Amino acid sequence: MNFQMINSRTLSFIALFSMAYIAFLYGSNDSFIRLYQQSEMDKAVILSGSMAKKLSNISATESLQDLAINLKAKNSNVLDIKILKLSGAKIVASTHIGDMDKSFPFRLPKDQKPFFDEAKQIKAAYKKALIGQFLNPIISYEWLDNNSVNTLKVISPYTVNGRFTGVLQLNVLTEPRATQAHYFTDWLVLLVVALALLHLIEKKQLNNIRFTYFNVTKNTLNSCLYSVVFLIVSLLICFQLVQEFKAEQSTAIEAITALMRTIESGSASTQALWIDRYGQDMQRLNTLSQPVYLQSMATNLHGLMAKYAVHILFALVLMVFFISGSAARTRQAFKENRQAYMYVMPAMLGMLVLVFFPFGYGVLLSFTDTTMFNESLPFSERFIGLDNYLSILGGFNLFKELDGQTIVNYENFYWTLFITICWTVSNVVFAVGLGLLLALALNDSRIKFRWFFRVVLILPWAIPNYITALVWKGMFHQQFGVINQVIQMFGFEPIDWFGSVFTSFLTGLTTNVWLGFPFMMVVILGGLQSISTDMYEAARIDGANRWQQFKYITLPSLKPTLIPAIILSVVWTFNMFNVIYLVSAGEPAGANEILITQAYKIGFEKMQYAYAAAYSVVIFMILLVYGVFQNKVSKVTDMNS
Amino acid sequence: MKKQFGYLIAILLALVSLMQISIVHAQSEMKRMVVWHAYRGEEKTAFEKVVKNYNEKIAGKGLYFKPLAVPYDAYADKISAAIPRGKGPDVFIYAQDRLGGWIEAGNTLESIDFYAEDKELERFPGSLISAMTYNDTLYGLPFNFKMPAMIYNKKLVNSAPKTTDELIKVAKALTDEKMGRFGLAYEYSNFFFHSAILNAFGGKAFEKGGLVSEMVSKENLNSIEFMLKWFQQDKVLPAEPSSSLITSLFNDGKAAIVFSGPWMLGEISQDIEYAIAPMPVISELGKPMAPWMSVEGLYISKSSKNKEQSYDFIKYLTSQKVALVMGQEGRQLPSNIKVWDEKVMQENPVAMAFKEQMKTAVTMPNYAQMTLMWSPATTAMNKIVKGTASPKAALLEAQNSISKDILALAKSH
Repeated sequence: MNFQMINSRTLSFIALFSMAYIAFLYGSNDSFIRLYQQSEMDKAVILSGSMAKKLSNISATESLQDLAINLKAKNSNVLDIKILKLSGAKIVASTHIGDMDKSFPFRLPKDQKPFFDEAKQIKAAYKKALIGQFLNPIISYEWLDNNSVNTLKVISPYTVNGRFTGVLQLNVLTEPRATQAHYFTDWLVLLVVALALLHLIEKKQLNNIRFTYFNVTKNTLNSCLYSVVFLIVSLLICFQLVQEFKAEQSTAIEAITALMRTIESGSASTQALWIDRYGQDMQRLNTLSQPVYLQSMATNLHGLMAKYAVHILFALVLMVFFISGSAARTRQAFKENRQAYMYVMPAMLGMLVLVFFPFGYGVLLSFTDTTMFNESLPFSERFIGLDNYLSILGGFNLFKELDGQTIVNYENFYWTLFITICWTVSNVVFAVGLGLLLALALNDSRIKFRWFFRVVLILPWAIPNYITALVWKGMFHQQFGVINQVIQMFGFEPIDWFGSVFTSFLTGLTTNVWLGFPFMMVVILGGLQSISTDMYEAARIDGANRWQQFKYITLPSLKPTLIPAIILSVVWTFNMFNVIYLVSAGEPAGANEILITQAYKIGFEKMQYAYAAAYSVVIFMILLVYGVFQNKVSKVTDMNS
Repeated sequence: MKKQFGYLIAILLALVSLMQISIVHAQSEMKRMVVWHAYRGEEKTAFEKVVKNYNEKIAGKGLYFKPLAVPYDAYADKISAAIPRGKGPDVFIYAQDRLGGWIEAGNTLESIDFYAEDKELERFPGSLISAMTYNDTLYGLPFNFKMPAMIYNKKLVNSAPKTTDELIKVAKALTDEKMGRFGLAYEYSNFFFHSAILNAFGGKAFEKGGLVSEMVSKENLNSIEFMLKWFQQDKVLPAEPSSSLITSLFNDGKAAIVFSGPWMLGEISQDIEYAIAPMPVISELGKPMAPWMSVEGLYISKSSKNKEQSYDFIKYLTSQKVALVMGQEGRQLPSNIKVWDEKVMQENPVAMAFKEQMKTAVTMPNYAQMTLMWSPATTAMNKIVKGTASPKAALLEAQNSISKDILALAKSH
C-alpha cells in the first residue's frame, strides 16, 4: 500500500472535516445569535409594552416627564426613555441628557426625521393590526452598538382613550450573550474519533475484502468509507449543537416567563398588560404555555436543522469529489488542456452569468414563499421547502362550486397541462403536415415559378411573430374581423371566436400553425432534395406506385431531418408565450392559458414570485423528461432502421 | 520572451485605464443626484429643461441633478430591484398605482411628511395629495394627472352631450351596426374604463383600506347593469372593444364619441376634428360619470444620499414656474392648481377639458392589492359582456379569486 497516498487522503479528510466544522459553527452561529436577540427583544418588548400601558392610563394631572423619570429609575437596564406625540411631531417627555434642560413639549429637531418616520410607520401598522389581516410589526427595534455595549432601541405605540397618540422609545441595555469556548476541544475530540475509525478500517484491511467482494473501484470504495465516517461525525456535531440550541431556548423562555410574572405582580391589574409586536393582545407572549410561542421557537430549530442538512449534503459531495480522485483528475485535465480551457473560458463565463446563475436562482426561489411583499427578507426566513411544488402538483380541485353551479377550475395545474399538451400536439401535427404537403408540392419540378412560391411561403416565418399574432387577433374580431365577414358573406351567423373554449383554442392554433409551417417546409424540402432520385427509379422499375414510393422511400429518408425538427418544435410550441398571450389571451376566463402564460400571470399579475418560479421549474422538468424520452426513442428507431 | 512582453502590455493598459478613471473621478467633484423618469419626446425635452434650470439655481452647492430616461416596460421592476439594495436613483417619477406595493415591500420610498409644510401642499388639489398618501403618510408630491374624458368627432356631434340620456340619443342616431358605425365606443369590458360608471354608482373594488375584496356589491352590480343596457339594449357600442379598435374606429369616423385619455390624442389622425368634454351626468342618478384618475408622483428614494436636497428638488418641480413649462411644452396636465389660471393654459381647450374632468374624477386607489385585481376583474367583465355568466356569478368568482390572492400575499408578509 502506498503510504504517500494514504497520507494525502487523510490530510484532505482533515482539511475538509475542519472546513465543515467551521461551516457548521458559522452556519449555526447566526441562529444562536437570533435566538439570543429574539429573547432579548421579547424582554424589551414586554417592558416597553407595560410602560406604554402605564402611559395610556395616566391621569390628566400627572406629568409625563415625571412618569418617564420614575420609570427609568425603577428599571436599571433602561438607559433612556423618549416619548413622541405624533401630531405636531412633539417630544413630550425625555430622559435623554441633552433634552433634560429643555421645556417640554418641544418640536422634534430636523435631524431626527427617522424617529418621526418610524412613529408614522408604527401608526400605520397599528391601524392595520386592528383589522387583523396583515401582520406588520407594530413595535420596532434596532440594535445599537455603542462602544461594544449592546443596546436595544425599542419603539412601541401608546394610546390615549383607545386612540393612537404617539410612540415610546426605550433604549435598553441588554444582557451580554454567554459565549462558548469549548469548540476547539470538540473539534479535536471528533477529529481524533474520526481518524481512529478510519485507521481501524485501513488496518483491518476491510478495504481489500470489500474490494474483491463488491467489484467496485478502490476510489469509489474509499470515498464511500470516508463519507460514512464523515457522516457519523457530522451527525455527532449536529446533535451536540442542537442540544445546545435547545438548552439556550429553554433558558430564554424561562427568563421571559419570569419577567412577565414580576411585571404582572407589580401592577394593579393582572389583565392584559401589553401587546406583542404584532399588536395582538397577549397572543404571543402571555400564552407561553400555548403552542404559538413555542411553535415559533420550534420553527427556529427546524430552520437550524434544515441548514445542517444542506451543510452535510454539500460537504459529502465535496468529500466524494476529493477522495474519489475526481478532484485530482479534474486538476490534471485543466493542466493538460490549459489552452483549450482558456479558449472556451469567455463562453463558459457568459453561460455561467447569463444561463446558469438565473436558472439556479429560479430554482432556489421556488423553495421560498417570496412575493412582492417579502422580497427584502433574508433567504432563510422565506424558505418553505417543497410547499410550492406540493400545492402545484397536489392540487386536484379540477372543479369548483360557484353560486350553486359546478364549473371547471381553469386555474388548476392539470387543466392547464392538458391544454398545453393539446396545444403542442395539434400544433406540431398541423405544422408538420402542412409543411410536408407544401414541401412535396414544391419539390415537384413540374411546378412553375417554384422560387417565387418558396419565397412567399417563407414570409410568415420572416415577419416578427407578435405582429402576425396581433394581425390574426384582429382578423378574429367578432364584428370587424375579416374571417367573420367572409362567414357572413356566405350567409352564416358570425362566430364569437373568443367566447368558447374550443373556438378560442382554434384562434391560437391557426396563428401558430401559420407561423410554424414555413420552418417545417424548409427543413423537409432540404431533406427531400438530399434523397437520391436513383431510389425512386429503382422503385418504379420494381412496380411501386406513388404511395408506396412515399411510404417506403420518402418518409424513412426524411426521418433523420424530421425528428430533430419535431423535437425543437415541440419545445418551442410548449413555451409559445407570444401567440397565446397576444391572440386569445387565455380567453375565455383563462381556460386557454398554457403553462408558461399561467406562470407569467402568477408571477407578474398576482406577484407570487416564488410560486411562479416553482411553476417554471415544473415546466422545465416536463420538457427535460420529454427530451430524454424522445432522445431514447429516436435512438431506438435509428437502430432499427 | 513574447509572453512576457504580452504581460507587460496588459499591465500597462490596466494602469492607463486606472489612471483615466481617477482623472475622471477628480473632474467630477460635484456630487451627482440621479432622477429616473420614463418620458420621451416633448415631455422628455421639457423635463430636462426644468432640471437644468434647477441645477443653475443651486449652482455652488456642490451637487447637481441628472435626469435619466428609463424604458417604461422595465421601469417599475428596476425600481423594485435597485432601491431596496441601496442602489438606483435619488428621485424618481411614477404613477401612484405601484405606491402601495413599494411601501408594503419596504425600503423603497422615503416618507416626506416631515419635510412637507401644510402651506406647500396647498398648491395641489386634495384628491392628488390623497393619491400620494398611503396609511395616512405622504410619500411623494403629485406631478401631473391623467384620466379618460369624452372625446368626440366635431363633424358628427355638434355639442357635447351633458347627460347620458342625451348621449345615448345622439349615439343611437349615429349607430349603424351593419355599416360598422357606432355612436359610442370605449373599452367597457376593461375595468379601468368601467370605473367611470362604477364610481358614479358608488361602487368599489376594495373595502377596509384595500384589505378586503368587495366586487359583489349592490352598487357594483347596478353599475354593470347600466353598462349592459348600453351594449345590449341600446346597441350603441361595438363588440370586443380594445384600444386599437377604438382608435381606428374614431380615425375612420366610424365612432362619433369615445371615452379615452390624453394618451390617445397623439394617435388621432390629422383629418379628424375633435373636441374634448367631461363625461356626462348619469341621468338616472343625477351624478356625473367619475373615471379613475392616475397621478404621477415625484418620490424620494430610500437610498438617496441627500434627502433634504431631493425634497427641495421635487418641491421645485411642482412650483408654478415649472408646471407652466411642463404643461405648455411637455403637454402634461400639471398638478399645481395655480398654473391653471395662467392665460396660456386657459387658452388650451384640450387641457382645460381634462382639468374639468379632474373635478369629478376619483383617484385610482394606490393599494398594493390593486395589482391583483386587474386580471380577475378583466375575466369577470369579459364573461359578463359575452353573457357566459351572470354579473353576480362572474363578480363573485373574481372576488373569491382576489381574496385568495390577497391571502397568499398576506401570509408571506
